[in-house]
Amino acid sequence: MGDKSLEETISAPPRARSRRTVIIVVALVAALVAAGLGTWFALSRPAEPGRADVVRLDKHRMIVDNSMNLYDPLVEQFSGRYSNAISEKAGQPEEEKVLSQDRERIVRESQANRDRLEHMAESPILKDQAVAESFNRFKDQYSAVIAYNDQLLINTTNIYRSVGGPCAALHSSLNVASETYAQDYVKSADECLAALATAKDGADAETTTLLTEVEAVIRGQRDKQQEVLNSKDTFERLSKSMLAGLALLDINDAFAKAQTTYETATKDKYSKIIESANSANSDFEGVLKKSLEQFDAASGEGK
Amino acid sequence: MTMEPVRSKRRPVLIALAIAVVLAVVASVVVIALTNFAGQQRRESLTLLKDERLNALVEARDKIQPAANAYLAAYKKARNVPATREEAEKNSAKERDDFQQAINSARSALSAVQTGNGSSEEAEGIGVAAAQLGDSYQAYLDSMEGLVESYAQFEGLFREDGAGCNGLFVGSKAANLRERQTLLGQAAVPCREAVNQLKQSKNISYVEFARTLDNEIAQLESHAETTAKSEENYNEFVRLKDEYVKKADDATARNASEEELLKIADEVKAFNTRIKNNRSEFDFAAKRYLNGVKEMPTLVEEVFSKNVAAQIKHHDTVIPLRVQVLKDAIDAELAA
Repeated sequence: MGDKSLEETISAPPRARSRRTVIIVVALVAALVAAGLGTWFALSRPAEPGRADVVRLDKHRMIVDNSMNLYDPLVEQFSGRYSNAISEKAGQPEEEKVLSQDRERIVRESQANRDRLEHMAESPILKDQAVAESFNRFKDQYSAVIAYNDQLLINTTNIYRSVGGPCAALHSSLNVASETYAQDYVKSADECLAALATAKDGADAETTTLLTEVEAVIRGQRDKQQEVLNSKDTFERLSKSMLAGLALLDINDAFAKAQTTYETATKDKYSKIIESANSANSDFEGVLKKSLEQFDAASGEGK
Repeated sequence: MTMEPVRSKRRPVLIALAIAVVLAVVASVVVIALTNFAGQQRRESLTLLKDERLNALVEARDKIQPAANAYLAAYKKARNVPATREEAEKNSAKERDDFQQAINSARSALSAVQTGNGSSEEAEGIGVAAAQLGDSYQAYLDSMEGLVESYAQFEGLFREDGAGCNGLFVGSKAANLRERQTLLGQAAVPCREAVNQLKQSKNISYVEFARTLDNEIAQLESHAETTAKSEENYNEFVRLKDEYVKKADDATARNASEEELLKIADEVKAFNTRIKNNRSEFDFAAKRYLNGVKEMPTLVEEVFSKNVAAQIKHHDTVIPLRVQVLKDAIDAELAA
């Protein structure tokens, strides 16, 4: 018991001091919090969406719209460089360089555009139902334009890699009158067919159709030339070779048809996408303009 | 324990508390003032970037192409006097300097824009737009610089005192196809060397042209070899034909067996096939050889008329759009 009373007498003054310390700390913390809050309020924008937010969103709309116009020149530059590297056999490192520079530039472009759309989605002005609806349509349509160009990049790469690569030799550098033509043709055709098969990887519907049609044409020719090779005697070989030669005459028509189908399909697809994007853009522009006018009218009444 | 020690202990605490509160208030006022000041400064620097630096960038670019054209024209004129490459370079040094100056000003205008966009944390939009503009602008400057830097090399390709690629056009200088092949091979060596150097150019139009030309030369060489060989084969065939005629005449004269006659007939048939194949190979190679030679001037001409023009058009489309996007990004940031 004596021990306990001794303990109390010793511990009493520190307890009183610690209470004071607590008060000081609390007061200090409260002061700092108050100062912090004050700073935060002073710096943060007003929570209520204002006219500036509309102006800002409209500027971002223009940025996204303008950025879409960059795809054509950039894709054109990439496909020109890539096709040259492939058709002139610049070599693997050179092809890789075009892919990593010119193609990656467009990949980054698309990422930046998607980021811009995401950033727009955070605008406080989207609390307004009408603006939000119009923006969502805008975002969907412009995302479609971005996605189209991303896909175009894949298609272009695949088509050049196959049709522009091993397949190009088939009907340009082989000598039809040569003794070994059938043999050369079958060999090149097999390389071309292998390339076409890999080119379908990741391709969209239109491109797959194109590649499949080209594949069918070349497979047909290849099989005819193979029959020439399989012929047992000279006469049979001669007649098969003549039939195969005649079939070659149709090949340009077949290719032209495949190409026209492809071009029409992709053109239609793209112009529809562009059309929808343009209409979503002008609609969104109108909605923002109206919202701006409302703000101006409100501030006019206030005065 | 009385009140006294308590009071004496409480007073310093109160003083400390008061000081702390005052300090906190002063600190927050300072912070607010500083951030307001920083914000004000940032607005000013963004306005400066938009109204002055970007316009300076555009103006600097406008001077590049005329300066490049002036140099190309001056060099070509000096070279056509005629003068050697060294002399022509000396006589176009002023234009070359002017061009380099235009490039340097454009580069410093660009770095002024790139340092002027402030911290990209606050406005990511501006940072991205400025980086994209920088990328495109840089690519334009590099390609124009390459165009000028490698011009003397390009221009000298088909000159006799240059790379001598005009030696590829052997024409009637050769007595026969083997000689044509030899002359072509000789001309191809220095020409190829220059072509490979051109492949290192900073301008993609030159590089792509050099690639195509290199392949064209290889094709010409291969076709020249095929036609020369076919011509030699043909001469051999003429000799063989006489032998076969003689052999057949002999056999008929001495009433040779039917078996022997058939054997000779088979040989003649095989011989005819060889002639036919030789002929087809010759035709194939000769046609391509002539086409290659015929199309070479077009190939050279198209470097400027088509490829460089397209390249410049590309930049003329892209850069103004990039500038506009950056301006809009700044406007968005400044909107209040």
